[in-house]
Amino acid sequence: MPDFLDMGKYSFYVWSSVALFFILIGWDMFSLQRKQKSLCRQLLAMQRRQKHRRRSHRNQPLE
Amino acid sequence: MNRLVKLYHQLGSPPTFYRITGKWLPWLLGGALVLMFWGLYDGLFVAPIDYQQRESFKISYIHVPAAWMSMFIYLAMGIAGFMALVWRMKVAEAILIASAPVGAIFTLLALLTGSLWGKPMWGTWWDWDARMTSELILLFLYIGVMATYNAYDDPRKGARVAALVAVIGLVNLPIIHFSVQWWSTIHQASTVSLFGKQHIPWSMLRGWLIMAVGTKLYYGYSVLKRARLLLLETEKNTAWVQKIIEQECRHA
Repeated sequence: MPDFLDMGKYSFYVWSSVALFFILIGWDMFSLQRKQKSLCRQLLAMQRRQKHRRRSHRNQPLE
Repeated sequence: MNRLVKLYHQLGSPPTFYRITGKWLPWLLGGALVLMFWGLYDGLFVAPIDYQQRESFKISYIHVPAAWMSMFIYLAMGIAGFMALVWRMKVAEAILIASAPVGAIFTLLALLTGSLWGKPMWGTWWDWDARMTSELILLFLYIGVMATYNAYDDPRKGARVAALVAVIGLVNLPIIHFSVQWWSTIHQASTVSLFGKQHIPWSMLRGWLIMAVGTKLYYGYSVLKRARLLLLETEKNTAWVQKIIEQECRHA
């Protein structure tokens, strides 16, 4: 282990804490990006369905 | 002061909230990342080694800011919950629901790093002591708020019931804070006081303070980004969201 990373007999506890910090914050950032993408896909699909429905309504012959 | 009041009223409207906070997000994330890396570097490599706890004290540069954030976010969530209950503000409901996941993450981080610090110092990973148990209850409260919101098909009704859970749970905050004074615990007493005498030299305190500001900026980023997505979802049939979909989702 390089000298500057050496935390004496507490290395495992200190570096596990640092790793947990990056994992949990990274997971939060990643889940936000994923949520944004999936919501965009969902909203675009909804908008397309609405446009399609409007167009088919317009093309229906009047009785 | 008038500008602040004006901003508060503007932020109460979902489209204006979405537009204004969109400009803040890159600054909040950038500031958070810079300060969190700086605070960690300062704590891990610059701050002196504690004469009693040796290098294990370095865990505090994650544990202490995470524990502060767990309570700060709950307070913010409780205030948003109160506003949602009294004024039925959609933005307050979104802030309330968006605060729960990031609050739960900081609480989990405080509990896990506390455990990693407790093992070498106290000889145990966990003890059912007042501070640890009340912090665990805080995690359950965050999970409770998320579960309550998701249990309802109507998001507005879910948000109002979740707001009630959040407001009732506020009673846990003074219990966590004063637990080390009210009960005999193995957890150490507060080292930092807002107004009183500090029991720690500046060279050791600095890392905590940098991390405290960095994590607050990160909370700002996470809560605003999540609240914006929640508003898009709940307001999806409105004209302003249709416009946003055209502008932002086509390029996503």
